[in-house]
This record gives sequence, C-alpha cells and structure tokens, in this order.
Amino acid sequence: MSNALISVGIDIGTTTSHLVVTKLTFANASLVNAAPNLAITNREIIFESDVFLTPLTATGEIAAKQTAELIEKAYQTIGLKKSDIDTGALIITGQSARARNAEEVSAHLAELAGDFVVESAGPHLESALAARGSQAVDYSQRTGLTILNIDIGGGTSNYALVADGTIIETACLNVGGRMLQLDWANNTISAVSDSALVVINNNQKLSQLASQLKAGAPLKTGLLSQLAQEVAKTILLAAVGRTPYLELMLTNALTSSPTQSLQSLQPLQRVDEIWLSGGVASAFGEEDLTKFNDLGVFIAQALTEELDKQSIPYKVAPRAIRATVIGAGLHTLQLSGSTIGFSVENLPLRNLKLIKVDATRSSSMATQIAQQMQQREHHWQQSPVALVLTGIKGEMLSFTFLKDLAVELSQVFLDASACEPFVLVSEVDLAMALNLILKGQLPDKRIITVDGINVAAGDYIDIGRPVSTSADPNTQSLPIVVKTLLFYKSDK
Amino acid sequence: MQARTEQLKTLTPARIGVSRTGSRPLTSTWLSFRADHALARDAVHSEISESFLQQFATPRQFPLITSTAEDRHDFILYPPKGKRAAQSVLAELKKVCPSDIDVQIVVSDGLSALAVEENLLDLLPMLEYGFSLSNITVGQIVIAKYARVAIADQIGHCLNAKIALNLIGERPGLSCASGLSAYITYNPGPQTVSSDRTVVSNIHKGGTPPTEAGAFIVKTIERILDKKVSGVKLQQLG
Repeated sequence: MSNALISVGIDIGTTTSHLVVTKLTFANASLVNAAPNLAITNREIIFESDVFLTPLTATGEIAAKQTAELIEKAYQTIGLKKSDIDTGALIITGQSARARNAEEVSAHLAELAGDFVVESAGPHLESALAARGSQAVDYSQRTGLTILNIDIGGGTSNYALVADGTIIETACLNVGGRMLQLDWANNTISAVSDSALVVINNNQKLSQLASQLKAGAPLKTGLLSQLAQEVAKTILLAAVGRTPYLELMLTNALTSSPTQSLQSLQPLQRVDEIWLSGGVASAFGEEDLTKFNDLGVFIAQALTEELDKQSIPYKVAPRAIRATVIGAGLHTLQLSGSTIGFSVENLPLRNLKLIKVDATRSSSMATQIAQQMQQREHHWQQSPVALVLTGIKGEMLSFTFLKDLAVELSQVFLDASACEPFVLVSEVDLAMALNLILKGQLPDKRIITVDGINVAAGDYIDIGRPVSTSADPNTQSLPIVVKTLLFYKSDK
Repeated sequence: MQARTEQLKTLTPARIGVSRTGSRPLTSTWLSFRADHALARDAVHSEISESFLQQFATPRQFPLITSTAEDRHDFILYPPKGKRAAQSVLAELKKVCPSDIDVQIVVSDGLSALAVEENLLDLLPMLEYGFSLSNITVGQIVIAKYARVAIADQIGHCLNAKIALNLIGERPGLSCASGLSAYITYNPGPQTVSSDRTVVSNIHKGGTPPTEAGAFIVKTIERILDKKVSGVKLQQLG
C-alpha cells in the first residue's frame, strides 16, 4: 500500500502564476492496538515551477488555453503525468478570480490536474493558505506567538491572524502591486485599476494630482512613491481593522485586531510579529524601481519605511512569493478519522454545500435544515449536501444519544426525498457507530459518515477516494478539502 | 509564556508544567498526583458493584462466574489463577448458555472494574446492534470476576464459539483508570497464545469512545469471520 499522496498546487494570480508539486506522507498515528487513526506525518515540496506571467487576452481576461499549455509544459519538465496526481488545489487568486472568465479558466485547468483537484479561490481561503504556506502557522504553533500574516500580491492583500497555530481570522483588501501598470519603455502609466482610483480620489493631495495618475500620463517616480505611501498606510490600517476605504475590503474587516488605530499599532498589543508574503513582500530590499512594470517595488519600499518608522517588528516569509501556492499544495487536504462509513463507489464527491445543524438543540433537525437550505438557496433535489453535526461533545456519545440522532436523521432523509448519497460530517469520533446505526434504519440508502474534520470556516466540502496503510477495509481515511467561496463574487 | 503553558497542558493528560517549590512539587500538584494514584489503586482493588450488576446483568440473567481465584486479593497476588475457571463452573455455563455460536462475549473485571462500569452500558448495545445487523450470532453474555484475558478463550472453547470476545478492564494508569480493551480470538482453545488475539485497546471517553469502538469491533469481527484468522496472522494479511 502506498502511504503517500502526490498533491499539486497551482496558483493563477493577477500578475504571475506558478505551481508546486508536493508529497504528503501519512501513517497510522494511533496508539499500538488502539482503533486506527491515519494522519499526515510529512509534507514535502518535490518540485517548484518557475514563476511565469499569467497570459492575458487583449480584453484583460485570463487566456485559459495558453495558461493550460504553460502548466502542461511544467508537468513535462519533471515527467509528471496527470494520472500521478492524487489531489491538489487550483486557486485563481486575487483580482484574477474576479475576472469574468474565472470559471471557464478553472474548467480548462481542472482537466489538467488529476481527479481530485479543487478549483477554488475566495478571499478567506486564500488568506489562510498564504499563512500556512509562509510557515507563519507552523511557526506560531511551535512558538505560541501570535502572528499576523499579510500576503500582498498583484491584486489583493490577504490577512490571516494566527494564534497558537490556529488561524483565528482572515480578511482581504483589494490592494496590490498591480494597482498601477507601468510602461518603463515609453515612460508612461499604462493602466490604473479601480482600486487605485479609490485611493487617489479619497486622498486630498493625490486627488489634486489625479490628472497625472491616469493611463497614458507620463511616469513620475516621486508621485508614484507618494501613491505607494498611501497604499502602504492603507495596508497597515487594514491590519488593525481600520481601513479608510471600506469599499476596498473584499471581506469584513478584521475584528480581533490588535489595536484600534495605526497610531497605537506600536507597540502591537496582541500581535507578536507581522509576517509578509506574496509578490510585493518578495520585492522588499529591491532598489530597482523598474524591476517590474507595476507599483510592486514602490509599495515594498513604502511599507519598509512605514514599518521602520513605527518600529513594528516584521519578517519577510521564506519563499514569500510562493506562500499561497505552497499552502495550496501542502495544506488544503485533511484526512478524516479512520473509523468512518462509506462506499467507495460513491466517491469522489465535489462541491457539497455544508449545512450545519446543532445536534443538541431542541428545535428539530428538519426545521434547522430547512432554514439553512433557505438561507443558502438550496433544495434537496438540486444536489447532495453535507450535513455538519455541531454541538456534540465527546462525553455525550452514549448509545442512546446516537440512536436518537440516527432516528431523527433517518426521518429527515426519508421525508425530504433528499439527494443521495447522504453525507454527514462531524468533528467528534462517531462516524462508524452512526453509520452502523443508520444502516439499521435505512438499509437501502447510500450513507457516508466522516469524522475528525473541522469545517467551522467552510462553506463547501470535497471528499476524495479512500487512502489506507493496510489492506484492512476498516482502517481507511478519506481525504477532505474544506472550502470557502468557490469564486469571488463578480462585484461586491 | 504562561498562556502558552496552559495551552500546551490542554493537549495532554501528562503532568507537564506542574511547577515546584524548592526541590519539591507544589502541594496542589502532589495532592492531585496522590489522588490519581489512589484512583488507580482503587480501580485495581475494586469489584464490579452490586448496583451495576443489578442494573446490567440481572434483567437479562447474564451468568456471573469467578475464576479460580478465591477473591480479589488472591487474584492480585496470584495472577495465573485469573486465567482459568473451574471445570464445574464451565459445566454450569454449558447448561445455561447456548453453544455453537459465532461470538461468545465475556465481560471481565481484569485490573479495573471501573472500566467495565463506565463503558459497558454504551459498548454492549452498540455491539449487539451491529452483530444483529450483520447476522452474527451472539450467545449469552458471561460476566467473569477476578478474570484475565485467557478466560474468554476457555469459555468460548467450552461453548464451541467461533470467536471469543473478552471485554476487560485495563491496568489503570495515572491519567486514566477506566480504559477497557477488547481481546478477540478466532477459534479459541487450549492452543491459543497471545499472538492469536486481535486487540482494540484504549476504549474510554478520552480515548476511542465506547460507541465508536463497538462499531469498530463489529467490523473487525466481520473481517475475522471472513478471513478465519485473528491476531498477528490477521495483521500479516496487510
């Protein structure tokens, strides 16, 4: 039995794209003789592609076919076949995910990326992946320090606040190096993004100079630095949940932020360190302003100044530009518990909507489900959903409790003419027992129960085919990917 | 750092970050150690309580037997006595228990009667539900006092069961005095040795919950019946 999964992470960014191929090793982490529990024991990067410019069409959309070709070429370089890939994530990040054809691009590329590759983006997921890929989460877990990871890319800045190795909050600001595109050869500004206009128009000094900050205007580095300073301040203000430009937030602002204002950012009360990742972070220390044809280096310089001026401790993450893609390759996948219930012919399942029900509340499960379905604009008949059982604590797991739960669930499944297979997800260890009891209630229905999975922050779930370290069919785990939004909303 | 220590302490029942005064532990640390040690010792010396037997065994007339040990003290001092029941006891069991069954369940106090009392009320219904769903026949459940693992093989052999399943209290530790193990033997008999047994250990609320363990034991027994081996030989199948 193979005890490793090959995972690929592909990041299609606003400016650049790249991929990593990683190997996830798993083993039975349970005590000798105790019921099995597979866990990922090692995560290793085996290949990193070059960073290439994302091919765009004349109208500014991502050129799906060309992008696919570039990725195919990267596979060929290392002799990787589609069939070698077990899992992975294709993420269309930043503003590119808001491009009109994100879904088309995704469909084109998913083909290339094996059977079980999630195509997803979404500001929260992206922020979380960047914090994992930058190693901020790992570092926080080892040291107990609270870290704010800010991943500043071409299109967006993604924030993740990490304490004791747990991501407590994420947010996304629509600001990045690509706000302005520069044509160094002709010494002109070639494009100004909507988000740049927001910053320019809302700033007294800059708005007076707006005519010099539009497409076609001659390039003045002093003025660009001035704009970059404003952007840097905005990025740091959003770090404390106080952006002056609310329309630039693609998510809610951070609420558990360290302080109330930029002035009191120093000293940071709750955050021990700020970590910076993403393309702009990788430009820290770069002195050649003409290195890229956008505002990236300017923002990097302005940020360095601002952080130093305020004596805010920060670190540029190792492999800063690759943080998101490394996160995607190494950290999107979880393994379920190993005492679960499923039939392999029902797998894989993708994009199941998560419907959360509190198994300990007095209101009936059917009522709760109906409410959630309405909120999430879903009907049983449309497609299978995954019911998440919340509120259950380990000490509640008596036989009577599970039996009652199974009886109630089976009524729900029978009444709703619901879409099979029925999928139940829990964090506590109950899946094999619940599956067995449900089989007694509904012998003819297809039921999948998994546990050991935390879906608190998720909206959708993908379930892959089982993995195992032994021939025993009772000691298999399912690879699970919990996702937030599938795509950015096209406009906020 | 204080918060970090507290957070790390939640990850393990082990005694970490317990502090000290001079060269000695804090009074509170020492008292909690003594309390846990006392709990472990009590578990070893405890007997399955009358009230539990009345609630659990009497209604369904589970036969209650003892090993060749005279009492708990004798059992602790002379462990081999716990491995066997007297021939007269077995003869009596033959009269009241059905034989030629798939699984003979024996509930043994082992080294922690507490483990039996805390887990059986959830573990046993789960096992019975699962066995009946899979059409696996279970005879009469036998409760054995002062009993060790091997006694179930003797009982299973005597009742001609394909499988002996011993649900037995584990040796208590300082962090848990109520862990239960399930020892499963295919074709139990005098020839049975330790390596013939498949074990599911660490069954308690803080380990594998009894309900989940029950489902896992059912599935494991289905596989053992199919493969006709248990223990190391089962593991060697992959």
